[in-house]
Amino acid sequence: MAARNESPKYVYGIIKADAGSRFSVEGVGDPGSPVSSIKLRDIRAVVSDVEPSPVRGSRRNLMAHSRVLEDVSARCTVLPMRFGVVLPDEEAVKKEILEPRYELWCRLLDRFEGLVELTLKAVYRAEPILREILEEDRSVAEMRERARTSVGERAYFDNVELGEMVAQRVEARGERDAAAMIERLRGLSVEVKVNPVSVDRMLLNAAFLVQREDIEAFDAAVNEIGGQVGERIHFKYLGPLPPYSFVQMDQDRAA
Amino acid sequence: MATQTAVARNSRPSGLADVLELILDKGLVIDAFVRVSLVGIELLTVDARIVVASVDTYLRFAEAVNRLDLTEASQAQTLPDLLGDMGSRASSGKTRGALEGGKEKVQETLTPDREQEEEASERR
Repeated sequence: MAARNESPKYVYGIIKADAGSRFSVEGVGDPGSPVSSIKLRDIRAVVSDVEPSPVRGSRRNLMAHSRVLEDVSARCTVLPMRFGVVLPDEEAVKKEILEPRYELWCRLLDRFEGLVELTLKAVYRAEPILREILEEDRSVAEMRERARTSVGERAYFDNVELGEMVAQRVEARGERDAAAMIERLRGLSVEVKVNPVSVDRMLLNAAFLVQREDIEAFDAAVNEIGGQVGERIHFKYLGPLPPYSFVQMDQDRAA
Repeated sequence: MATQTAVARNSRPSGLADVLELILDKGLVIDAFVRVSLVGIELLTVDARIVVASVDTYLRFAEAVNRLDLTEASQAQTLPDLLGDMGSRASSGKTRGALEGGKEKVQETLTPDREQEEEASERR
């Protein structure tokens, strides 16, 4: 049998050496190889064998990468890699990844011990927010009337103007509502990362770094918010995840 | 239709959009060694992350506002009312009808409805 350590290695993340080395999911590739680890003193790189060619950004591979990290994260702290990190062989993993920043990895593993990421996205439901805006602001209601009755080119410009007025008001409400949510949740978090909103009517796209033992309290707080605004706002709440949103920041700071 | 007031936490990303945001954008970067072929990947959801307010956005809002049936008694309350009053909020279930006339639906990217459709189709 060919020496396995000569295969290119796909790297998923870094864990402590004493976190164990048994993994139960398949890695990227079609078919995916078993996941294992490469040890250097007190840390391990979580890896699997891959073909010697660029890793395809396929749905299958992306989901496999994500699933490997979920599996690992359920058992121990992991510093997650971005998708697509491949090294030519086992030695290269040690020489290029584990050894050069050994101290940093140890420090980050300590820093993130017992911490997980929870993400919360909030999007206004279509109708309630629009009704609210129409009812609270006469100028919008008037613009709506004008846009409905104008014709031809005028109608186009009136609708753009109407839409812009509405968009601005949705954004203003969004900033206010998002700030209130973050304030409510900040006290339960070690750190908060607010990302730009990515779609119409999205008001919040944030990642929270939370102690594992605080997850229940965090759930309760999110549900309290949901109870208050759930008829106007739809939530997408995810976790516990490896600290994707927070490792990079630390890496930059330490560099 | 019951509106969501309980917020369930999903323990794993349910769709590709969630996964992309996490593992393409975030995580540790070892620049010299990222070797990815992006051929065949659905980049639509990636591009959707960067939203620049545009005329299209405004026209979508205008269309949505124009479709509102204001002859229906409004169930909306102001924000202070909503935050202060959890008990006596009337059901807003029937206001949905105004937007779903016949087969028409307001098509918007990654709205709650669209997200649920995506989740449903991507769940394997």
